[in-house]
Amino acid sequence: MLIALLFWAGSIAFCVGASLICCKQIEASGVRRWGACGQLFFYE
Amino acid sequence: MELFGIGISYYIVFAGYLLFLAWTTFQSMKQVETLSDFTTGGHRMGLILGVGTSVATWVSVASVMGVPGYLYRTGVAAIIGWVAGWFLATSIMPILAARVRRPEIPPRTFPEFIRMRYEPFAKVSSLQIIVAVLMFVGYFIFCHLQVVGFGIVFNTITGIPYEYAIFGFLAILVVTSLGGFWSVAATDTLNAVLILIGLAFGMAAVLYATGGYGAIFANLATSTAPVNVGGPELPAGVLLTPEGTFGWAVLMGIFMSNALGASVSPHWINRFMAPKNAKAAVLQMMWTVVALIPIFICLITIGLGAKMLLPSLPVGKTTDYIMPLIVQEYAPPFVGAMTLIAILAAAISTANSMLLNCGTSLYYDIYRALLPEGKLDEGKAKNHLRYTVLALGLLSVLSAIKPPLLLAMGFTYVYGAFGACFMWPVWLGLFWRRMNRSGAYAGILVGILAYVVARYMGHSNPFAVGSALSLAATLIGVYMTSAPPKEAYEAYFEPEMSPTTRAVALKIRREDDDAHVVMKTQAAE
Repeated sequence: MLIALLFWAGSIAFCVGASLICCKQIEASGVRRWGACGQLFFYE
Repeated sequence: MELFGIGISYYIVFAGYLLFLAWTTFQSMKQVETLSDFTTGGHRMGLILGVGTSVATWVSVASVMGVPGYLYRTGVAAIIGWVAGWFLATSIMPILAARVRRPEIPPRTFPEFIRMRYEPFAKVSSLQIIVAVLMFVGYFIFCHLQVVGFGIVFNTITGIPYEYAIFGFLAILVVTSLGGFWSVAATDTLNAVLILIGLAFGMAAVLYATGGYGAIFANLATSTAPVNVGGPELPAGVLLTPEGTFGWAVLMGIFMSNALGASVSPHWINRFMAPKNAKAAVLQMMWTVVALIPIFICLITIGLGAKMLLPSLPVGKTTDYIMPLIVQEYAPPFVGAMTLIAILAAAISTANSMLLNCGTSLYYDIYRALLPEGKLDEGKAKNHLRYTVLALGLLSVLSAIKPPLLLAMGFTYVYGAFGACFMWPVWLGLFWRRMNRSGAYAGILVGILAYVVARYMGHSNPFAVGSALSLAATLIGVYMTSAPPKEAYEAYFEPEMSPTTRAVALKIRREDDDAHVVMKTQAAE
């Protein structure tokens, strides 16, 4: 059961991490059309 | 109180749901003004609607009925195979979404994305048509599975014969699909809320009937009850082992098909084109994963608890029946009605999305792509798409009269096939400028052929075979031919596109710049 739950929890953690990196990259690009607005979890 | 043998609570909840569906469909039909509105919501969707439609599309009958069914059949192994697999797929999606939504003039459909990326100058794109045909077959199967799921639930709970119940579903399905993407998204958001409420009720009923998680796990540790009455007994404790009754090779095949295959499924790439911009697309998928957690906790609890409440299914019933059987037996009428609505919502929300994809690939990417001359008449095209959706809805119901597949496994087959043929053309197309037309042809054709042959020969992991051969074929194709023109990849790698790339994108969409200015204004509003 623990192994099964670890698979699941790992997927969720990966999603949040990957989203964070993607948002940071968009912010770093400064391209407003891509949604860069100066705040990590918001978009233009 | 009962009417025709069915509790009055069912009628009240069902009537309320239908009224709300009709209202949201009517409201959203007003939003559809252009062909882009119909296919991808005009590329201007906000976060709340985006998360709602993504959650509801994820939660299909394969998850609401198939996952508890497989948990009941194989124990916690189904968490790895399906739940973790699908979550990993959604976890990879933000990376794809950020790239797919980059272009200023995005494609309207997945086959059009393939065309813009690999055959931007072709008058008639064979690759677009091949992809559309593969999509059409896959989404028709998906649609068919939703109809089957709905029929099983309605038949079990109400006693209405399965063959009649599925025709009732057709009416709801068609109404919610006729308004196009906005209608699908609006009803999906409502459905996502209903799915969560209904499943929470179902989980509460199961926990109350079993006595809680302690009792459920104690039962799983010792149960040897066969899946069906009279069948072979299970080894004691197997339901709590991570590989369950599958074995690791088969389980990893299922996990990979669901994870990698689902992540590049065309309907998801299509979903990434709908948000206002790339960041909205990323956040849409991140919040979708968060919203899915409580839904899957409910499904896991119901599936595992069912083994205690109903140790073996009656002869002739597949494990897809476990959810409605448990609801019917252990939930009070109102709770039963809410859970029924949750399953119905799951079936509708996925089926209407699949039906839209199926109809769009047939009309927009096959029929229209074969007639390359002339500007597109938006009004006529929208109506033609509606007729196509109507005809396909009817066909999917007719095909469901004699269902051949277990629900969750049917999804796994299609996701595996999509993954085997589309994974490398999508990933490499978005992240590698050198990826070209020959690589895409080789990857798609070798991937699908290898997957079908491996499946036919009974290989334990046909997805791994298909995707590995597809990668080899893709790389050979890429390195044996010249680099692609900049018009093929520029939109996915550069913030601004050159005038020639812009002209090519508008030509493929058969729009002039005025049409695009209107679209941009709508997005700004």
